[in-house]
Amino acid sequence: MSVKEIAVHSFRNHDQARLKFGPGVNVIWGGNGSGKTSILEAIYLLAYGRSFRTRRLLETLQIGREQMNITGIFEQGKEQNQIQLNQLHDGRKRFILNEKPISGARELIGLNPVVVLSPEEQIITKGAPGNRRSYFDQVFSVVSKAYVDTLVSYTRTLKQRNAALVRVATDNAPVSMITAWDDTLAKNGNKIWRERIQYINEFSGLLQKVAHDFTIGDVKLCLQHTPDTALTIDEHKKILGQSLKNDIRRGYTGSGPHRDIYEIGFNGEDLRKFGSQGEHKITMVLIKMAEARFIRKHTGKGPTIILDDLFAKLDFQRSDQVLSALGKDLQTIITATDIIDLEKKGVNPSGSNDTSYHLGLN
Amino acid sequence: MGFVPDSINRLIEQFAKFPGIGRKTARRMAFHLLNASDETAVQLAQAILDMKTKIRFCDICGGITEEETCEICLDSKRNRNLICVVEEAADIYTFERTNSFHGLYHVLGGVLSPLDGIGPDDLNIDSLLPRINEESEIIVATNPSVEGETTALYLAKLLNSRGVIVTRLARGLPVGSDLEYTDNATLIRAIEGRTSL
Repeated sequence: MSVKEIAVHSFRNHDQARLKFGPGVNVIWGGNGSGKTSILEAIYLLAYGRSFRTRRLLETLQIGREQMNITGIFEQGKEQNQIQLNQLHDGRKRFILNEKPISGARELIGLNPVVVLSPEEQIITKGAPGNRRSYFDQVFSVVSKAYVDTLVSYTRTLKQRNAALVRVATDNAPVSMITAWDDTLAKNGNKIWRERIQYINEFSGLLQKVAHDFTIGDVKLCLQHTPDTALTIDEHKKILGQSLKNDIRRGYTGSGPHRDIYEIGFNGEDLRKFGSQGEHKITMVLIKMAEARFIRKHTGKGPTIILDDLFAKLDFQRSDQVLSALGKDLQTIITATDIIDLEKKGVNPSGSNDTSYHLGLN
Repeated sequence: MGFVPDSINRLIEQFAKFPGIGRKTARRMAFHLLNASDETAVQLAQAILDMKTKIRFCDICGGITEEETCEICLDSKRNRNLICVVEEAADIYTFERTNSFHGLYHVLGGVLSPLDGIGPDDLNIDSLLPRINEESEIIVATNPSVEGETTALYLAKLLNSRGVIVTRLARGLPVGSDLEYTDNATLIRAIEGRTSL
């Protein structure tokens, strides 16, 4: 899989820009505020239907403009597809796949997978349990449409049940308003658990292997998934029944896959509690390597690797090692403030498959 | 729109409340009426008033009728042991169009949705219970949304305990479609709901 071309119009600080990429190493360099990350954001938007920087897409439209456009051409073997995103100033937006409007961003997920390593991603190892849940949900969504569907249904069911909890607590509504949702919640929850357990087992195996290979045995990583409470539908329903009073008091459903915990062990210690800055960084790189392999294994598509400002943040002696371990035969797009620095670290985008862009300040 | 007289603006506001009608279409409709004959306008107004005053809900099924009981419930040729439970009265006419369902209907008047303040007590479920016996089959034809599914499960639980057969509409491939163009969600469900030959 590779991104062939990306064109943006009235997007963030780009009035208009068109970049073509090769299947090898591609470097976008320029000073702070020259719009490097915005280009990466545009690619990500077409891959996942949402941004990694903001929840409100309207923010990315330049002030005073009627509409923002992003067009990307992706290559999958011999096949090409064109994806467009069109955001109007009144809030309406649509995605267009090969000139046909599609019903929602969900259809895009998994079509052209990308793996992003940016400073913001560090919340996966450092952040709250919810950050890790959303990360793994996203990875699993890329490889399974069924997972996306179940997740959407589960989230909606949870929202309904929580609304019922509040109604019962405040308006004296009958308890059946809540319990009517327990079957659907437990059924969808069980589907999520079954898939998560299978996927996380695989992911964990891949993570251990990349950690071992890349650090020559120095780092042992362990990924542990602790599903919240019960695992069978009946057990879960029983727990929902038992904690009904508590749930009503809190106005919130206290058990289910939305409470699952993922923990990362670094050489036997809990990374989140005891990890140093450096340990967090190396773990992040290794998780992303595992992600790329996981996606390839399931979809047969090699994802595009996007590295935002990685080298400023990493203290590896030679960044090309990271690059070759991450990217090997995958397309890679890197941003940097200075290309000389990058070359010093052994990254040299001079092959026929490589490109290098310099973005000046607007 | 300060230059449009108030009486037209008010009509535009009213039209814009209809489902599927945006402001532009509402404006076109209003100006169309302005140019139409007085008779047309009176007929439209009368039709709306008539509908609102004459239409009532069937005492038995909750469908719409101008009498106490609807034509479908009165029809002696229909299978009285087969009841199709639908969300809205409008769904009845979707089934009737097929000319292939010869049972009765029951209108719930919505689906379970606490977000909209709707719980089991807000649906017409109590009126369904006297209509069933040991030989009944209840077909739950709520939409395949999370809310529709939950309502179906709730009904199934309630009715199964009374020894009634409860069935659910199947989900799968649309007739005349091509596998290649079927969306993933539908295809996954078609696999889950496959039937033996």
